[in-house]
Amino acid sequence: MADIDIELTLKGGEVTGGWRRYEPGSTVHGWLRLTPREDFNCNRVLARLEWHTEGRGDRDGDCVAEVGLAEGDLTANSSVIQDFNLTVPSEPWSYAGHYINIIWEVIVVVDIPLSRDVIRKEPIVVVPRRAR
Amino acid sequence: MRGLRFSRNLLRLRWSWQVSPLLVGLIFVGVSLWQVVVGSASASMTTVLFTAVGLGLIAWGLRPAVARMRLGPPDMSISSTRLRVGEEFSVSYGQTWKRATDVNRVFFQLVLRETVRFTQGTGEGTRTVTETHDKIVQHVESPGRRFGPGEMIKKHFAFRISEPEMHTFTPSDDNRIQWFVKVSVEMAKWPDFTQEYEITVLPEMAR
Repeated sequence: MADIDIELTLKGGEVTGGWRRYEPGSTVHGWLRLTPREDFNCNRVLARLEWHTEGRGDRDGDCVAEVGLAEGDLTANSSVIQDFNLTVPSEPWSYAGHYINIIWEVIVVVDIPLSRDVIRKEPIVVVPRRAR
Repeated sequence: MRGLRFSRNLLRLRWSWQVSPLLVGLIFVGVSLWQVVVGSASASMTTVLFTAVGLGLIAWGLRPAVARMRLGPPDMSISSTRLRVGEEFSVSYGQTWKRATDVNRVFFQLVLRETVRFTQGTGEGTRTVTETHDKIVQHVESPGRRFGPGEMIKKHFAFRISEPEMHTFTPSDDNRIQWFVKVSVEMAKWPDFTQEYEITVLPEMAR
């Protein structure tokens, strides 16, 4: 696997209980710094917004938004910095039930030819603000 | 928001407790009698035993259907079947008794149901399993009493998709979150009459 540092920072939404919560229909603002420790060529660097189920049932999931951030040659110790935006759909909401959990994640994928992808995940919560 | 009215055509058999014993019973009786009819076996003690078990299973399987004959078709109306989280809706229920029946209680529930399907085992021993879990979000109950022939039960009440609940979620048969209004009539000495009506909860908050 390629030696690469990925620094991913999410903005927007609100932080509650240690989680970053986004309103359905809102936008996830992200900031990425990619620092390779060696020279290599990558097919592409992507930021994705995905949900998947966890729990007793077989897994369901979907990638609802994707944005390309870089591609081509990356130089050792030379950082690539990119901002990105991903739109959160109206559903499904994050959920923790008896058998089913719905997990949302922002995922950065560095797709390197003939090598395992380098991945960094940041979980988020997608639920509307509850009425008080 | 549109409402919905339900009637007798929504009555349906529940596979696990009604159809399964019926089917197994019919197979038992059919196999036993077929062996006698084609002459491959005489009416031995085993054949009689199989037939008796088969008839018993058929009788058990028919019990709910016979119990339903004591009741007329339910008349259920729900003010809206497409609801938002936090929204209140009204339910009207009416049902007539055909025969005198002692009723222990009649209850109505707003149910959030999780259904999951998963594969168990490896290789040739693989099987698909489906499991459900019901969360009773609200419960309304009428005390039991004796109902005479022609007598009617009428009930009008409100349920609310309370916060923080989940919207309907059905991406596949592997993971489903659904909402139901469930009515159950518990009759003394008879199987319960139970019926469910699905409602859709939208991924929206009632403001």
